[in-house]
Amino acid sequence: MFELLVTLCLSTVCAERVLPSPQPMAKADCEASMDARSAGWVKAHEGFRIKGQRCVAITTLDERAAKVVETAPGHFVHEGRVEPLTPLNAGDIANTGFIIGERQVAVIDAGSSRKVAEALYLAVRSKTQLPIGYLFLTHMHPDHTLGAEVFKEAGAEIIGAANLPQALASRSETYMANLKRLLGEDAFHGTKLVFPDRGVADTETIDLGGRELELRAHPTAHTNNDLTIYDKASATMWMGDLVFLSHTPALDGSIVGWIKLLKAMKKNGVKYMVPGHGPGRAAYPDGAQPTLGYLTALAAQTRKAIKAGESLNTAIKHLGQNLRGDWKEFDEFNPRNATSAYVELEWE
Amino acid sequence: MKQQLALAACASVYLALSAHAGGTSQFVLPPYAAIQNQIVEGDAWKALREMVAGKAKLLDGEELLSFDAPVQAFDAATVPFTISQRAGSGKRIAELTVVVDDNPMPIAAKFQFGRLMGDIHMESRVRYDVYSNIRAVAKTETGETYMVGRFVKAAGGCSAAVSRDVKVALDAMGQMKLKEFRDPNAVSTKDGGTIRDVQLMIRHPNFTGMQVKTGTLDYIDPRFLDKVVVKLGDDLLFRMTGGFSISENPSFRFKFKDNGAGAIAVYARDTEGAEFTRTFALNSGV
Repeated sequence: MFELLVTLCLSTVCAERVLPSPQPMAKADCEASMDARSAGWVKAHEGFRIKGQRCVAITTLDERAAKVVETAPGHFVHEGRVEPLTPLNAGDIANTGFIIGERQVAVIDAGSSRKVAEALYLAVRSKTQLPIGYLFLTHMHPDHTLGAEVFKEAGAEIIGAANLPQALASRSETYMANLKRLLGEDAFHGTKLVFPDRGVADTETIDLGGRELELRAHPTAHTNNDLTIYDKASATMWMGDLVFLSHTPALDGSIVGWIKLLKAMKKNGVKYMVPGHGPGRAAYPDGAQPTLGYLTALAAQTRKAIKAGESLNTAIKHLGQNLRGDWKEFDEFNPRNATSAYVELEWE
Repeated sequence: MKQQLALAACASVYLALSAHAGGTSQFVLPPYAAIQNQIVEGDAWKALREMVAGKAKLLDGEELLSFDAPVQAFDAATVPFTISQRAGSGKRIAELTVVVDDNPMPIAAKFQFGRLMGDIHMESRVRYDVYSNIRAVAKTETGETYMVGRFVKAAGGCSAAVSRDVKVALDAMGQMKLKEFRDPNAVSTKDGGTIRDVQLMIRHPNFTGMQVKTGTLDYIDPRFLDKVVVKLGDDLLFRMTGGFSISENPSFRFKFKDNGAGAIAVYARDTEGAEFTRTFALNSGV
């Protein structure tokens, strides 16, 4: 099967991008349709022009495909790097993956950029020719959502928690500007924010053909739009950023709600989890312990500082500092978490 | 829409003064010598300067005010700043304007202070989406204008200057809280008034107009507290004219000299005309 690669230019920046198709194509079909597909893409992306295009066998695209591990039959995880967003990693910092049923495929999270999402798309295509029916977005953050358009082009229905569209929309300008600044024009080239097609308010079961996935939207915790995906066949729960390993947790919802959610996690037959950042597989629910421990200690320190009459400006200089341990990106995220925790808990 | 509002707010904030730029001693290091994030001059201020300070010459405010703002905005929705008048200056600050140069609505707040505020101590929080200076421009009772500022780097990629939960913000709008703190350095003043340290908190989303309604992709109109008046008995503590650069759930921590009136009365109004009032009895003794 063949994929269409198009060299797209915006102003003076050109890069070769993958234009997905809903159905995998033989070489002749790919070449017969490429003019129309490239033209359609450029029409939908203002300012871009086509510099060249070619159809390439998927078997020769290993280098471009995301590295994935099959942690259970038909269950693939791509581990993002535990790093800040940089041009070199193109924003490939979150864990993503896909699950293959008998009839279709579901992808979980889309990475920070078109480039990262294309790599994940190629990884799917290298494993199966089944259609990509769904893209599930675990929450609004740009390192999980901004690559979504690639899967929309591949024909996937994009589903998130019911609060996701509003949360994403109110941050869209900031996210696009920040990520372009942090990743640079080359790595961010061709990235366009798209919105979910629909939201899940509570729970929903999705059938991939002989394989059921259970989606659940949660009360405000890491964010106000956290969605978990449970793959019964592999007994694996995709946690999104409700669980961090290695990377310092990032609080952008409610510290009270997040602690409550993690404390309430029960085994119920679930064996494994995929955290949003860090190693691609951990035991369930034990993998949540480091996140829960950090949040619980931070909340206790914050309440103590508030009670002692410390102002926000004073408190954020020290809150959580002794919790550094082995957490990465601590100096960026801990003061932010402290700020967030303080402004929530000062109303108690 | 947001541009129009920004201009309207700017037009109401106008300080016309004349003064002379101050110099500082080169021989004894002043207390602010170690400041890491001095102002980085940019284009935005050129347009703002006249709106904020008119033609007045701006005196160096470092010897009058300590100004604490972080080197980086860790959380774009909440960047705390503290303005504290250094003791013994003998000057009464009557007005103070807080400016975030590169925000869509740069003039975050303008404070007018009553006499009971004494040496000014004010801590609040602003939204911070960009790499920008934050400045405090203080006008004294005798007509001098002082400026002090810091450069604050923008937040990381995932932090945005919006409500974490729009529904919660709207549901609780107008709630208020006043916290009293025991100041370990509290001293009775010459005329017997004790210096008190309090935090006024007001629940309000302070929508910027760049946020979006739940369930739709329609923009929410800007809606923010544009006036807050705080009195101790009949005496004014401060009056704030504000913009949406002040963070959600506006918070003001400040010190004042107690006149014995025993209660603080707060009046707040937002741009939709909603009014919120509350009176807080003060605990006695420090």
